[in-house]
Amino acid sequence: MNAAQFSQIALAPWRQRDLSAPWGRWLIAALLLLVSAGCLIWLPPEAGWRVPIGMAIVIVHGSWIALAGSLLEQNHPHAARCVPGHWRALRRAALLGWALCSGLATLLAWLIVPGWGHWEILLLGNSVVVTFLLWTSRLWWLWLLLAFHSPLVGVFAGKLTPLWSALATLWQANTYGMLLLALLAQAWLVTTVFGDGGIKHQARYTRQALRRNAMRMMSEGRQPGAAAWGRHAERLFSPFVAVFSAWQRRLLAGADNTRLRSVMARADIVLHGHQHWLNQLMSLGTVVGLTLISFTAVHLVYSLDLSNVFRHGALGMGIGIASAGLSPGFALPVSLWQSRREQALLRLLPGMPQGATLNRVVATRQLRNFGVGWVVTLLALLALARGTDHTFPLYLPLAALPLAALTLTRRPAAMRAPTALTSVLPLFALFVLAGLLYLLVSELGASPWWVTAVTLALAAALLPWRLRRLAAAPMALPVGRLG
Amino acid sequence: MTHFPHTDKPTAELNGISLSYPKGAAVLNGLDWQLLPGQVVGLLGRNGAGKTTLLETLLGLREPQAGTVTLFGQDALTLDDATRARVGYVPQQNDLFEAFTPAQLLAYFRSFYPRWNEAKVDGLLSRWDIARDKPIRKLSGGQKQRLSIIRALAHEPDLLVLDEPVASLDPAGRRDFLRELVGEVLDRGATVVFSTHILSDLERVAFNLAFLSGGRVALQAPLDELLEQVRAFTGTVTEMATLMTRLGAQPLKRTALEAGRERVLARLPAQATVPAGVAVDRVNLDDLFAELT
Repeated sequence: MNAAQFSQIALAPWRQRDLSAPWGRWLIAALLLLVSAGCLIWLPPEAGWRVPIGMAIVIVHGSWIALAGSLLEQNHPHAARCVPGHWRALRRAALLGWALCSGLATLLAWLIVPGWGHWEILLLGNSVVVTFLLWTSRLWWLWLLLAFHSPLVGVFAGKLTPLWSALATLWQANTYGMLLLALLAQAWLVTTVFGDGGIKHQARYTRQALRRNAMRMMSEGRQPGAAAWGRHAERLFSPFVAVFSAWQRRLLAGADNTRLRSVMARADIVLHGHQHWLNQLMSLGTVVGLTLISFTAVHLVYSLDLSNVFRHGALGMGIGIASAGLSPGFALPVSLWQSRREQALLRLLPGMPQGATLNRVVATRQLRNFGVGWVVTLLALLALARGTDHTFPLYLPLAALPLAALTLTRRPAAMRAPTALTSVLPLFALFVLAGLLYLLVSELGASPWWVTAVTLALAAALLPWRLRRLAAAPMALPVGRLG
Repeated sequence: MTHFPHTDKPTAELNGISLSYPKGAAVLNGLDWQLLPGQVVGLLGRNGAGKTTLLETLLGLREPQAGTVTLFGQDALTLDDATRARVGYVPQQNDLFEAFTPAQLLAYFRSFYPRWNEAKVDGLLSRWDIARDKPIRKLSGGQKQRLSIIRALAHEPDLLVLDEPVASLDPAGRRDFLRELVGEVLDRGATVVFSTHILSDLERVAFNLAFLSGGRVALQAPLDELLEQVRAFTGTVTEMATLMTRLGAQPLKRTALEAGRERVLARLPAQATVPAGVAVDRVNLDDLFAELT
């Protein structure tokens, strides 16, 4: 690998960055700087400098994830087989990146570990993390393994414990030898992540390309179908498709063009696509089911007291429930963009409302879907809040109301193509507003009832104004034609 | 200018290649094929005949279950860097890094090749009207195809493999592309093999045609020879057998007709004269495609 090849390979992640929403990166950078500055100013000196260094470790790992993803994208089977030295250059660039990231992260970790911990353990830990991150770019399900590591470790504890003990003994007896062996094994793993252009590599690259494309669609706020994730995902989600088809057949059997409700229920299939309320319901049901299974598994393996888990994990669970319950509603306007080509045809269908009625109906149905999700979320959060002191999650549905009044009543005809920022911004605003409301109550001593009343009044004032504005706007469909 | 001394050794040689996909029928079935230096070969076959599979096997992108593939005398599955630098490939499915701009993509690949004709790249980018600094994702299908061709031509390969290279090009784009292809062969004596369904393009540039049928190359011959020597005869089965023996003709395809008659597509030896009174038709490229694939 010469310098020209290395510079081209190293430049690729920067060239492949998402250009549609550069403000997202600036926003993250500004937030990191603000948090770092705040920590240095307000935290005690011995703790203050640790936060920026900790964030620097996260940045190193984040940069490595971007580089690893790019290296695997560059590892095209045609290039691996037909371009001289391409496969070799990628492996060497990956090895160099792995060594640099492991070294840098170790150095930074060494600076913040109290008592200047053992650098050997830090190097081993960081190199394992960096190797793991590289392999997750190839095998996404490794993240699932990480998520379920707790019950898995419990299940295999009988077999793993003697192995860990033996390794620990060996480590104690010959630390540097074991470290060298581990680093060499990881270096080998780093080089084997790349394909040589063979038939297996081609199949894997095709699957990865599908996944990248689906991820890009999601980052732009679009909802790819199961088929966009490949054959396996399509098969996995086939029960969802069967349920949706059955519901669709029932709807079509009772079609009545003289009833607005019947017309719009059918129009929703096109307008909301993968964000249709039935799809949302099935997705939510699956998430809840999987969560219950993992809780049960952990409970059975470790005999944990679940009330303890709920008490200590209420904040994280609350944020998770609020995100899962509220974000689909905010995604509805963006989902309109996906079906804009079909919407011209939709407008010509018998019984389809026109003009201001159509604008009102489209917005009302979005608000109704959001409202159902909002009520379910609120009930779940209230149930969760009963056994804990964490009240922050309760401010999320409250903050969602004025934001929904703004975002769900946008003029569809003037919409612009969604970007990564378009889909993230409502959620970002939701957390910021909820955080401000929480601070008003917890830090500044404002009455929670007063804060709730003001927020509700704001939402109540915004909604009629936005609906009046929407009624006077150009016809909603097809969306984006005036954007 | 030829980069390597002239040689009569085959550029590519496939012997006894058999390949089938999992749970599928054989796509290539004991196929033998040879490409000589300076040949321009048009590969013809029906949809699903295995043209892409054959070209991918030729390049070592697919490993056959039986047989050997050699490129420039080396096993196609284990080519060294010097030999890889002599091969150019335009796949049917675009393999460009779509987030790059054309300028970035070409700079990327330039770093891997020992020779790179920058003047040719600049000239083609200008002539084919490809914006250098626009993300490839935003280029049209035809522009992406042209960029893929530029990338394959830039390092002046001695073997150029193109899989449906003109599928997304308009007539003007196809004409420009064919002109470049002819230039490659005339200037440097490169071997070019390309698959296409546009027969009029083949008539312009392909000096050799290879017909892929039943997992084998059913016939490969120079185009003008085929048009000159292949005829369609009609008569009784006995008459046809006698005629073929008398002319020393090579029957290519027999089609049974009613009342004990048949139609025989046959290749005559050079200088052969068809006796008077025999029902014979000249054939064109469309007929050859329909009959032989």
